[in-house]
Amino acid sequence: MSGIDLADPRAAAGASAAGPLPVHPSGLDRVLLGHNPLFGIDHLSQERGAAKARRFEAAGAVAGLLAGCHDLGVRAMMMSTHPRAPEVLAALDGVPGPAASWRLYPLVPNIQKYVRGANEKGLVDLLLEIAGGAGLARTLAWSFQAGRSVVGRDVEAGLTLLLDVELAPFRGRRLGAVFLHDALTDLALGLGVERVLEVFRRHVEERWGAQAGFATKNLPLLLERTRALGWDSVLAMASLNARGFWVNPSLERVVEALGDPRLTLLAMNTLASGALDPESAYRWLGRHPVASVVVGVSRREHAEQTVGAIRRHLLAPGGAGEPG
Amino acid sequence: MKPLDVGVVGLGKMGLLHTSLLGALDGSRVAAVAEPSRTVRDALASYNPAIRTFPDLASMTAETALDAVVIATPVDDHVPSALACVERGLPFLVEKPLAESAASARPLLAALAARPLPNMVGFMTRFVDTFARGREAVASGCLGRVQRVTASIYVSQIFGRGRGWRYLRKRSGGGVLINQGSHLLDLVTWYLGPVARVNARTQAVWSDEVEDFAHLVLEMRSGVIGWLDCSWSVRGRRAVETTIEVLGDRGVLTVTDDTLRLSLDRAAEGWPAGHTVETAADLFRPVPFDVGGPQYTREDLRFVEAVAAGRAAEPDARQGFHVQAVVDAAYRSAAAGGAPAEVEAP
Repeated sequence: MSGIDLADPRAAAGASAAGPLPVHPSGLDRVLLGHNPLFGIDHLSQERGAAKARRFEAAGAVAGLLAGCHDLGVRAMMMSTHPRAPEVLAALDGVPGPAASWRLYPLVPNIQKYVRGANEKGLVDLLLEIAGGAGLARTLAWSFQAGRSVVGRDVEAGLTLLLDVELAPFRGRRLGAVFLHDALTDLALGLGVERVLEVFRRHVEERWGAQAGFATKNLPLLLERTRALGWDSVLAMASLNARGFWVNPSLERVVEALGDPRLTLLAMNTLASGALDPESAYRWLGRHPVASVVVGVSRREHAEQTVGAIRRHLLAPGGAGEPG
Repeated sequence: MKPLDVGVVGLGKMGLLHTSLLGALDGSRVAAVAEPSRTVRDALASYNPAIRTFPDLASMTAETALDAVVIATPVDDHVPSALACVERGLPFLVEKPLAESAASARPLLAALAARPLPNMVGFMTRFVDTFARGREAVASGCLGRVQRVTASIYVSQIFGRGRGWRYLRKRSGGGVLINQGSHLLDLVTWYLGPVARVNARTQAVWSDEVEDFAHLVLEMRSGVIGWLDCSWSVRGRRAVETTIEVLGDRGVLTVTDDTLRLSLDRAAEGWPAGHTVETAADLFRPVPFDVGGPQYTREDLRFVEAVAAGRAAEPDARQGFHVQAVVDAAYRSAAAGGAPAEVEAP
């Protein structure tokens, strides 16, 4: 692949600075840098993901990427509580300009940790261990005592406690919004326990002072269920691309759902995991009411193309994503 | 048509996933769950009282009118639960592996022979788009005469001493081979038919009882020779990485979780000459509801459709038994230093 490697800190030095990208009226940053390349996650190719992970292990590589994106006007980043998250946060502090200019969008929980942990230990033991590691075992033990009857408020106490543990690395940072991982959003929808989503939303808003968002692979169902709960606004993150890759239950149904006036959409997987080029992908996306996009970039040329295409097609006056 | 009323036994990771899927799909709803942990039962009941909760399968089936059951309990409970379902005439989907040993699975095959019912074993890798497409390529005959098969499954998961039933051979049946290697064995046999005998070596580095590495040389009944390698203790694999390669005298097929690559000397059976690459994005088809990956949705849809129609579905207990018999043979071979071991016939 050609192009200047953004993982090379020297590359960022030659970048031309642009003003910050605008913020959507909902308060959301219009372009979020995705964490996936930094953590070796590539949904189209595990091999490619592993190569990126190796690249971003090099000293200064993450800082180089962040500085390059900062020069392109990006000021927001989505980030899971991956084991390497502290390293990325430290790199962020080293980016030229005030670190406070960046806003973070945590995506919680780090689902891989829970899946592997549940495989090894079982779900309840894992949850106890995670809370215990944070010195909160006593509180949770109260909720999860074996054999004791638990009720909704106990579950709620446990959920908010785990949420605080997950969000602890972000304390003191500027948060744009906190998103619940799609595995949990969708699990809750299928289980018919969407009141758990309300617990998440209330806690994020009240305790963390941030908007609460929901990643999902089932956007129409999320909208349907939250309508039944009486929500007058829904912040969601979902796949949206012309290929319909990872768009359920169909591209048509999701495009129709975008018309819901309660919805603020952060579009992900906009390049269909690399199957689409930025120009055509964002030209298509620009026709739809999309508030923001999260993009995974690892090379300067790709970042420039991506942000350039977003500026042209999503942020230009009169675009479908532009209010008024 | 009225949705099927399904009961789910075991609310661990897989039980929750099936409960969520079957609760969201149009053709089914979860009427009841059976779970020994009162905490988990109460938590679910406090948020969704429409699902009835019970401490065990017996009380669930006694007190709820069900059309089918999903069994997602520890491995040594699979056959007892499945037998209880057959006794009550209830179709079932049991998580993989079918049993902790072929011997313990035998009574289930006998019960199903006496009372056939729709049943499935949760080898969901078959429902991953790339592997399903790979099967189409192999079945088409485009590779010519098959000469060799190789397969591997790796994940970076176990790097310390584990706790719980998975590390007790008596309860889990074994380590990475039965747990994750069984997916590979299902794929290999789905692609190329049954295995006749194996030579195997296993190695336990993090556990006293179950293996973390396994390597098998397989001789298929067709005469094709191949090998299979698996570990959950390798480095650098954040997600499970599965690969199968089938070599024929006219070409080679390599399939991973995200990509299918086919190279043919000449066009055959609708596949072009030269290199064909199909990615997960190329092969993607949306599903009505997704939690955990579309392969699980397709698996559960297959089950629901089979139950609704009262017909057989695959992979079923008979195929699950064969995979189990290969695993058993591999463990016997490994215990004998890699000597050849025959795979038990059903």
